[in-house]
Amino acid sequence: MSKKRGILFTAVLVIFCICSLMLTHSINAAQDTKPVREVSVICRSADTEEWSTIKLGIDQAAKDLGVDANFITLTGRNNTNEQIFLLNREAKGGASAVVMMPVSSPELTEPVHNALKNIPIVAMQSKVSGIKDMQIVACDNVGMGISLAQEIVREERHPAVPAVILRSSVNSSNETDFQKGLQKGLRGRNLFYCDIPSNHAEAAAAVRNCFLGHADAFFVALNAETLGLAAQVKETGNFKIHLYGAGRTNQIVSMLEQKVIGAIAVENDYHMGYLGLKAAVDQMDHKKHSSIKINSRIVNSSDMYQPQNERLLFPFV
Amino acid sequence: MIKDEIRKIKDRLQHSFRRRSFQFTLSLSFTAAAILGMAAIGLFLSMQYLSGSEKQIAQNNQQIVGQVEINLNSYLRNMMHVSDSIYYSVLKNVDIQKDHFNSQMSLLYETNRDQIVSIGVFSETGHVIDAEPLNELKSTADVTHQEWFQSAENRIENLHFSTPHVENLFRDPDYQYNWVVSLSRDVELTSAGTMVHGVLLVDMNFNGIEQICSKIGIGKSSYLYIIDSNGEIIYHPRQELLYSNLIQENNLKAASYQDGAHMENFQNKKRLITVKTVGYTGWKIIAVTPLKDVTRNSSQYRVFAVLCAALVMILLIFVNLFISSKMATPIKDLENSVKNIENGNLDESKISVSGSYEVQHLGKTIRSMVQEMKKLMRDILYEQESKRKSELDALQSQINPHFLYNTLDAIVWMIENENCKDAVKMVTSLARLFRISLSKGKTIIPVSDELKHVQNYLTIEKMRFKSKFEFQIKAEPETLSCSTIKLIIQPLVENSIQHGLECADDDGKILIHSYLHSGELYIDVMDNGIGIPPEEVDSLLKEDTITVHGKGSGIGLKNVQERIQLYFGKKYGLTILSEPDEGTTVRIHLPAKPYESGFQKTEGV
Repeated sequence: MSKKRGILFTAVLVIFCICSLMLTHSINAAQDTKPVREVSVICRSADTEEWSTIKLGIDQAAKDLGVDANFITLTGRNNTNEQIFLLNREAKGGASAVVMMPVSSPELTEPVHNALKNIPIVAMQSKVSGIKDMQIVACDNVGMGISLAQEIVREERHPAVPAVILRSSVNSSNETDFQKGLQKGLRGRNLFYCDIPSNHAEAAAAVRNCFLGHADAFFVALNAETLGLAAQVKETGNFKIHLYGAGRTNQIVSMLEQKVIGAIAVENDYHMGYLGLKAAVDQMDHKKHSSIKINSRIVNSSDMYQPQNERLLFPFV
Repeated sequence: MIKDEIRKIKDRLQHSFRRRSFQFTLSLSFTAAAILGMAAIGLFLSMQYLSGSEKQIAQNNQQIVGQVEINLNSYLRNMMHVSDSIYYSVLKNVDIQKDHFNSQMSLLYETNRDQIVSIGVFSETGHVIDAEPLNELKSTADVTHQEWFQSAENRIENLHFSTPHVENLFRDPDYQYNWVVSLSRDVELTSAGTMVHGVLLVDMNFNGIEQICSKIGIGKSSYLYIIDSNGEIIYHPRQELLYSNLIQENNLKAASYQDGAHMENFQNKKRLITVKTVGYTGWKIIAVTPLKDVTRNSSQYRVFAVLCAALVMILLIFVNLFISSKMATPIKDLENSVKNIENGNLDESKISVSGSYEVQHLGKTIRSMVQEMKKLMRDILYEQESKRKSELDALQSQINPHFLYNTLDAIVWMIENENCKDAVKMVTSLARLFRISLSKGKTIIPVSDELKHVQNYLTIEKMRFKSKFEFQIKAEPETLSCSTIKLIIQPLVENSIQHGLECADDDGKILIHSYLHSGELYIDVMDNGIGIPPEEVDSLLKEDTITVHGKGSGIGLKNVQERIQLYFGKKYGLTILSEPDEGTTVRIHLPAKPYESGFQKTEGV
């Protein structure tokens, strides 16, 4: 081998060794420094039972997608200022994305709008008014309202029986849409509305007064909290009224089983939690996104142990 | 069409290879063969590695599944043991109408409360005989239509395990709902002295099964699930996702798998499935390992393997270059030697003899071939020279017939005029001329003989031309013994007489002078004739020139010149010095070799 070739050989060998070392080093470094992505989940209330199934879905998604999910609850239910504070804190505090169940307040619009410039935000259950390009994971609340109305109509065959809608003070978009669905489904009937205050004692009194004021009507609660309270009032007050509503807690399920509640509309919370976090991760990965609809079912006491309903009502907690 | 394309590519490759050097082709072939070999070995090793990994993972999975089966079996047997204990130790020994057995059931429940949600004994009509920890049936509870109840009623000899379901029998003031797997059996109860049938229910906490399965470390994306004999999911690590239809599982097909390892393709993903049936229940524990898991952990190994392969490839390329260079260099040297031979360089010592035995042999063969060629060429040259010499000598030796006729005519004329003395002299000169011409067949003769020959010729010519010219032969004594080719002066003298003196007005003079100068022999033939024009002087001795001036063609001069050079080399020959109207000197240049030195013995060599 000539001297020239010897030098060439040595040079190629040295370059190759250097490249190999750099490559292996970069591979090892890439494996060692895998970035941890943190997603903050800001809930609407401190009631863990209300979002325990959502949490299960989020936990499963976090495990599947390799992210850390930090759950942050509000000390007070639907406290707008606290949710704004938490949102700003998480957005500035290094969270990779935020999944939130927004409270219903126009004051949330601007903070969400500003935070969206920095990190992906996904809304679950309800939307933030005034923000169109925000990804929402929720069920078809209007459709769910219509389905429940159809179930009610099957039970309350006489069209002269009026309906009373028990409205909460929250008045979030999901409840508004659900109410719209009910109104569509119960078209032709007399509809009355009772506004239930957020204070528990006052709320119970308001429900009782509402029952007393519309003894010949059936009642529909727009959220789980109101429905649970109404069921409790009905059972304790031995009211002979028919009660329906949306939402799921163990108490509501028990009341449904005891036929205190005629039927409930239940959305797939696990589905919502899982897809909510997945949507946030997809946004972090700059994937195209659009609003996600999750499924819901209408359940009554006779079909609540059918496999599909059983799985929806009783998550593996 | 494809065949044409293949042929075109083949031709192009062949053409390309023909234009490349032997070393390049050799290096490329070695490298290509090495790379192909390495790729084949790499592929084989990779397949072996994958196959080994699959086997290893299958073995690991079988061990894990076996362990889960042991744990699950133990758990289920424990539950069966509880059921047996209640049945054989409690229910068999009491009359349900008379005796209270709540305390024993309570004890058994408390002992196993982590694993059991409830225990209940039901009559044939579905009424609760006793239950722990709750015993108030829900108003909606339709016991006789429950799956576990019907299974127990239908096959009374067996214990039955249900699929997971929510326990919905007893009123719970805390609104608790638990996922359970029901273990039910038909029991014979004594009621007021008579035997009646009932159903014993043990609701096992689903968490117990979940804990057994979830604590198993089976791999990053591997998992384990349990199905019943119909393929219904008992446990799945992502059961909620399954129930929410966010994912699917191949559980129905898995129900048909036999125990052992299987490969299945589910949702376009290959998966390694390991199945183990749990003895009594007919449940199947199924471990799933996506095939990409087998290779995922080997990504670093693959990078290193590729790097090692690249390193080996670089080394191979250089080794191939080195080897091909070692093999090709002697052939290249030999090729250069052959090119030199083609260019006429027949120095056999410069022919390369190196490299392998075969190439050395080739070199040696070419060397000997060149030697042979040189010998043949020498022989041919010698033969040609000899032939030429012979031709020239023969030509030179011929006596011009005109000269002979004229000489004999002159002799006749002399005799008729009774000029006997001159006739004798002329005849004597002619005889001597012939004798020296013959010279016993020798070509090389002493200068003295050559001069004598010329003298005889001049004597005859002078008598023929009636003393129209005078001649003088002047020879330095040391030149007389030198060697010369015979009959080289006579043609020059003949030229002088015919071309120089015949046309001259004055009496002609011819001087022949032999002398040594610088160790060389010179013989000048000088005349005072009409001379030769300078433009003709240069062309007279050139091979291709035919001189048309005068009577001669110059062939005589060329003949002499050629003969001298054939015998003594190009260095020697004739020089013509001429001045028009003054005369001409033709100088013969020869090596001064004594005739006695044996030159005559090797003449012509």
